[in-house]
Amino acid sequence: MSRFGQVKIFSILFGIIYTVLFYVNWSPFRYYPAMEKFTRETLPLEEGGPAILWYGWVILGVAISAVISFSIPRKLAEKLSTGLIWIVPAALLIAILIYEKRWFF
Amino acid sequence: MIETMMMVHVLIGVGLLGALTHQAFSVARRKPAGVNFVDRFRSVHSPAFTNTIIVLFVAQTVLGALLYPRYRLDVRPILEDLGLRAANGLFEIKEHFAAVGLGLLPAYWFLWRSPLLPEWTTARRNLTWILAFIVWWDFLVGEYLNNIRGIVAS
Repeated sequence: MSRFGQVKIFSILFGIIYTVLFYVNWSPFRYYPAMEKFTRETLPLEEGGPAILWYGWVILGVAISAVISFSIPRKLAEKLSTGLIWIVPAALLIAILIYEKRWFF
Repeated sequence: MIETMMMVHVLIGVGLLGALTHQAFSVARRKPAGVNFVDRFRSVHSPAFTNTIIVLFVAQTVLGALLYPRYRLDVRPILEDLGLRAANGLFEIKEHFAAVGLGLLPAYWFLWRSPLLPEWTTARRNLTWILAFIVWWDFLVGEYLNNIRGIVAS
């Protein structure tokens, strides 16, 4: 279980970072499927068509979580409660459901 | 090409659903395996599913990501034209759940590594159930959206 502490932090952090990114609706880049183009610019709908931000949320989430989790010393990371591995994601799923209820009402 | 990818996406989804449901039920078992269907369903060697589940989950997410542009261009405008706002909402939740699930896989792999540590039993069981919930949600929403024209027409 040498790297388990850091992996725990990665898994917990990734969900949090991803959720924050989609909540603030910010992505380091966007994909415009109508133009088949990745860009850092935000194009008007008439010009670029609909944009996909999901790829940016996932990639940035992985990058930030990996950097932070592997920067934390192993011994410190091991101290994090194993229970948080499922408590935080469960809370995130509930938060996502609550936030996305805007589509249904 | 898209049709083939869709078919593979569905087939991987079925495999993932089966493997994770088996594993989730096996960790929920609190009594010795009996002889009825549910007990037999539960009494699998659950660690054996772990690597398969991870590979299928990653493959499923990558395929979903490749199919996403087609959904955004062809399917979502139809849903919007038909006023099916809730269907779009279901898809939004599906994509978020898939991402959260993807991030959980490294911890999930560690928890299921042999030998299974007894102090991780609760975390292992609950994380497996969370992943099973995500996979069931994503599969059912995916199938609903695939068939929505027929469902709405009826």
